[in-house]
Amino acid sequence: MIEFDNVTKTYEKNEKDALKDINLRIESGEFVFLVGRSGAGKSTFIKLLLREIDATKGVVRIKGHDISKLSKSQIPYLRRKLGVVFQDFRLLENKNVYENVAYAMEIIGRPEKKIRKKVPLALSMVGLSDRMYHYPHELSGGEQQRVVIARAIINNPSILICDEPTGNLDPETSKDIMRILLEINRHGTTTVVVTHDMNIVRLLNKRVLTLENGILTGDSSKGGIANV
Amino acid sequence: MFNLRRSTIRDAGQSLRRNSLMSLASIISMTAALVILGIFLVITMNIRQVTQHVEGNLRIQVFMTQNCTQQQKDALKNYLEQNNLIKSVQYESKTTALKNFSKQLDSSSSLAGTINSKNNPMPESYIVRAKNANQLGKIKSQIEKYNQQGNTGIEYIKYGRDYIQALTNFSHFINMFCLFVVIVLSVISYFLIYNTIKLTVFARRKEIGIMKYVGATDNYIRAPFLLEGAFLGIIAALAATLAVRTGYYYVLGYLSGNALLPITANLASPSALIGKIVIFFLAYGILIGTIGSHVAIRKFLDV
Repeated sequence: MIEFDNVTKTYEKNEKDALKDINLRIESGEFVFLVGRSGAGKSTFIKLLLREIDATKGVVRIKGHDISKLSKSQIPYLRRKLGVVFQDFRLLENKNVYENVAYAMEIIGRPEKKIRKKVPLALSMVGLSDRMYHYPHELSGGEQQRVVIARAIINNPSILICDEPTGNLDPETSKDIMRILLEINRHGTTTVVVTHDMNIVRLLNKRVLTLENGILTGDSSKGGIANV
Repeated sequence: MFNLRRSTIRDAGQSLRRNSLMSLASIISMTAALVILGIFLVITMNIRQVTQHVEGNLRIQVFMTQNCTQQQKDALKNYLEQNNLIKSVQYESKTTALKNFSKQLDSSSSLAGTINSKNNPMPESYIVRAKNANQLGKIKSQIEKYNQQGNTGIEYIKYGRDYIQALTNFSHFINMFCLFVVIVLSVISYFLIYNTIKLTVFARRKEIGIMKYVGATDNYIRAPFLLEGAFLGIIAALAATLAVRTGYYYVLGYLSGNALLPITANLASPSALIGKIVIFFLAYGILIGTIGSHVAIRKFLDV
C-alpha cells in the first residue's frame, strides 16, 4: 500500500537530511506506529505521503503508483485516498460538528442526499451522535479529535494517517481514540499512527517503525526494538 | 470549469459580509475609477460622433468664374462624374448660392439690402462629396491638375480640410489620454481588488489548508474567491454606469438649456451611449475582479 524506496529528503535551508535512505513497505490493511523524537523526521514522512513536498531522492509509492509523477492537478485526488488526523484538530470553528464532517464530502462534490445519510453514520462510529449540532469550542479535546477522525474517514480513504492523534489528550481519552482507530483499521483501512507517546504504542501489539535523526533504526516486524 | 454549487455562492456571500468594509472600499474606489473612465469615454465617443458628422458633410466646392461657358461647366461636371472616388456632384446655381448666403445674414444687415437677384455677385459652383472623407485631399489635387489644362472656367477650389484636421488631432489626443487614464486606473483597481481578496483569503487560510488536505481541487477552492472578485467588479460597474448616465443627462440638459444648439444636436444619444458603456464597464469590472482574486489566492494554494 505504502512503499518508500531509498527515500531521502533534504530541505534546502539546512544541509542535514530530514530523512535518509528510508526503505519500508506497509501492506494493505496494516496498522503501523511510526515513532521518534521531535525532529526525527516524522512530519517529513507525512508531508511526503501527502505530496506536500517531494523527495530529494528515491521513490514514494502509494498503491504501486510513484506519487512524484502526479501532476499538480492530480494531487487532490491522491489526498482523497488518504484520511488525515492532526494533533491540533484543525476543525472549522464557525461550523458545527455535523457541518465539519459534511464539509469534507461537500468539497469533493458528493451529493447532498448522500451527505445527509453518511455523516450521522460516521459520527455514530466515533460515538458523537449526540454532539452533532455542537460547535468545536463546546467540545472536549477527545471529542474534537473524534470529529477529526470522522472527517478523515468520511470519504472512505484507503489509508488513514494520524499525526500525534493523542498528543493533546489525557491517557484515558487517548485509549478511547486508539480504540476508534483500531476499529477503523479492522474495517480494512491501512492505518499509520505517528506518535512519540510510547504508552499507547506499548498498549497495542502492533508493528512499530522507529525514526532517529532521519534514519529508520527499527522495524518491529523485522525484530527491531522501539526504544524511544 | 468551476462547480458553481450552492456552497460556493454561500462562501462568497459570507466572505463579502465578513469583510463588508473592505469590500465597500474597493467597490467605491473601483466605481470612482470607472466614473473617470466613463467621462473620458463619453467625451471620446462624442468627438467621434461629431467628427463623423462633419466628415459626412465634408466637401470640396469648385467655384466657377462669372463668365464661364456652359461648355466649360459641362466638361467639368463630366470630368467629376467619371471620378470613382467621388460620391456625388451637386450643382449650385447663382440663385441658390445667394439664397443660402442671405440665410446666413442678419436681415438687418446693410449688406442684405444691397444684394438682390439682379445684382447677384455669387458664383456658380459644383459641390463634390467623396465616398471616403480621407480621399478629399486626393480629389482636390486631381481637380487642380484638371484646372492646369487651362480654359476650364474654374475660379477657386474650396476645401475645409484644416477644420477636420484639427478635430481629428484633438480626437486622437483625447484617445491617447483616455488610454493612459484607463491603464493607470486599471492598475489601481486591480490592486484594490487584489488586496480585498487577499484579506479574505488570509482570513480563511486555515480553511483553505483543511480543504487542501481533504482533497479539494484548486478550482473548487478558488471559485468562491473569483466569484467574490467578479461580484465586486459588477457592483462597481453598475454604480459607475448609473453615475455616468445621471451626469450625462445633466450635462446634456444644461447644454441644450443654454442654446448651444448646433453642438447638442450632434451629440450621442444617452441611451445608445449608456448601452455601450454598461457592457464595457461590466466586462472591465468582471475581468479586473477575477484577475485580482486569481493572483491573490494563487500563493495560498501552494500547500
